[in-house]
Amino acid sequence: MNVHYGDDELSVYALAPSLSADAEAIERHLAECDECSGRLQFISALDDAFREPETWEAVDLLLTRPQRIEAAMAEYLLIEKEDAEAEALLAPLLKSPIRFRGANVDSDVRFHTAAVVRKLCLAAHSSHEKQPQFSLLITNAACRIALGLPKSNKERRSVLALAVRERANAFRYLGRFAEGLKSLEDAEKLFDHSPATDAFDVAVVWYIRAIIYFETERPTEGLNLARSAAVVFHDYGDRSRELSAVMAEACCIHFSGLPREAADAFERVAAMAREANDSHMLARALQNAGTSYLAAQDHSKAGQRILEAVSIFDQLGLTTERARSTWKLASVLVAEGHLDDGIAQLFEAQSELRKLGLTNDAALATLEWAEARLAADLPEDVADACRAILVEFESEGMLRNAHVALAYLHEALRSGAATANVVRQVRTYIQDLPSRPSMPFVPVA
Amino acid sequence: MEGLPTRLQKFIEDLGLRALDIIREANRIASEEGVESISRKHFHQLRHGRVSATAERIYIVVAAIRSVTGMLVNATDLFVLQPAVPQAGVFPWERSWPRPEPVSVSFHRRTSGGLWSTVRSVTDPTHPTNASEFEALYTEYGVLLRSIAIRRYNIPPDDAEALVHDIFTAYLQRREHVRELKGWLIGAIGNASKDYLRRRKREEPLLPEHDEKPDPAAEQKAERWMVNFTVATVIARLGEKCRETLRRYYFHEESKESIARELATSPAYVLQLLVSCRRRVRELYDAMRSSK
Repeated sequence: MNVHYGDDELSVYALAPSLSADAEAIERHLAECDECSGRLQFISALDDAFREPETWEAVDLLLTRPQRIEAAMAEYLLIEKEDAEAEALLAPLLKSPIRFRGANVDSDVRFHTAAVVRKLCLAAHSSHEKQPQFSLLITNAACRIALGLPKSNKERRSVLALAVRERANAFRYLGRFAEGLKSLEDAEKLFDHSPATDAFDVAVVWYIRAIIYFETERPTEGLNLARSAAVVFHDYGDRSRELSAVMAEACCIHFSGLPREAADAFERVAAMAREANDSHMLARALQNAGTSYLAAQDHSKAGQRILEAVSIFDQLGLTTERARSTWKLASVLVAEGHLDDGIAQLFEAQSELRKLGLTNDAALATLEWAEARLAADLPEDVADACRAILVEFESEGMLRNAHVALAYLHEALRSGAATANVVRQVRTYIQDLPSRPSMPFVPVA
Repeated sequence: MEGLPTRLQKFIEDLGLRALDIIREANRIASEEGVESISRKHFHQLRHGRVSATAERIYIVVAAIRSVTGMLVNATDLFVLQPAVPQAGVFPWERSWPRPEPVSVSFHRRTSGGLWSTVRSVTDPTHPTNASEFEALYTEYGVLLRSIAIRRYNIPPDDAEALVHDIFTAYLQRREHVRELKGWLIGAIGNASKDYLRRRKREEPLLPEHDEKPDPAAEQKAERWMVNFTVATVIARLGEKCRETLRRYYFHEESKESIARELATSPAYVLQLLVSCRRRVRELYDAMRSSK
């Protein structure tokens, strides 16, 4: 067994070898032991830093009370107090949209503070995914309150910018992309008074705009914005936002019809996520890379990436994402021509997605299953399964359009005119509906 | 049956301290502060983790150990305290395509000299949750940000102070949106400094070191400074006795004998002090690194 020297022995040796009782033995050991050499190097590097004048200049500065600490502390305490008051006022109201609407906060002067606007933005931010209509209601109130703040309020402009940017996000989640883009334009103009923070705040605007662009089939416009946002996030050391922006860039490439290049970009995101030890982002990057490889007809790589994603989602306990990845694996099987296995796995996938309450994903997986069945000349049960399909959309218009497309499919199945191509048209239409909510279903012969 | 050694026990063993010295000092402090003293038995029980420490007990034990060792130990060095409430904010993702708020991460890099520049990613990874944490952040990062403005951008000290203050104000107004605090502060001082130079010297171009293009020499210099600054933040957390002994020995190049004369002690004690203070620096440095 190799016996190592302790840090204290090495420390004395670094101080002066002559002080060590067994300097020669240490020297001999160091010549052969990388671990002890490494630790000695670390101790010596610290000793070198102790000798640097700039180290001691910094020590003295750190021990000196900053000139403006009193003003900073007063500011901190004021903001804390305002935040606590805003929290107390808003907490009961933000529990439900009805309560919030009933409180009519923008006509009540108690709510007319910058802190309330900040809290409303935060509340909206966490409601976008699940309650986008509520988050729009909240951000509208935030914008009105911010606009009503006295012009002398030094926070007025910055909280207004934040509120307008958050409203853009709410519009985006609702699929009201034009209004979202307009709000982003307004927000960007408002972020023009604080040179220290504008670059960062504006990069967030660019990032949201890039997402809207790729969701509205304008991926080439989104590409450069996502890229620029990633650079700014990098400069501000915001690794998670940087990763998201690079992911958005890869998505833009994918939606530009360049799946091979997109797969490479997703591989870059995966490499960054591995380096950052970010399992969530890694799994999603792998899943997306798999989807791009699938579109590029590189089925082998698609399968590998998606399998790895499934394993990570498993470890993370993300059952919904795991179910989606399993569904993608079934798609790979079908694309590879293993129709029997693919059909069986698609059936299991749609059943799992339905159990998890992922209604639209279950609908799309069922349609994919139906398409594969018809391609394999196995039309039995397809009509029944398609009749059981349910879809959910926030907007009534989108729901109506989806029902029109499904009605067309049911009719085709009833009359025996349904083919794999007809099912694919309906599936693609429903899949793209969130990006093009007002586009009517028009079957192509 | 005894379990794993407590932090207090490990600290006492590592530094070869005598329990009696600590108890005497603790009781002296308790008497000065007008708080309840600590018995030998109770200290022994605390040391072996058989009883929980009250805030008052923690206070006097920490104060006593600081006094005995000359090191600025923290309560968390000696006791396992209630962990801070984790920050909320992980956002649910329902699809794999990007969403605006993914989870946050941090990263670090190693420098060629064997030390880690921990400043960008380690020393304060979380937002302050109370006034004293904000004060510590303002003090520690204020020095870093002012130094960047002054050293890298040649901003006059008073103006650098104002820029830093504005950045902290801006931070307070949008802290919910800031995920990587240090990176954000450093990015903000860079932009604020460049803007300052543009406004003040509109007719003069920015100097090469302010250019966005990477300059390996400047990068190396900045990295070395970051390393020294990180070591400085550790030294600033030491007790005065340790700090001043290190300063005199390394920076002023005083001999052990000279320091011993000044402290009315022996050169062997100074050597022991240097070894234990450097050990403490290494421990704090490692703790900062592993808290990433």
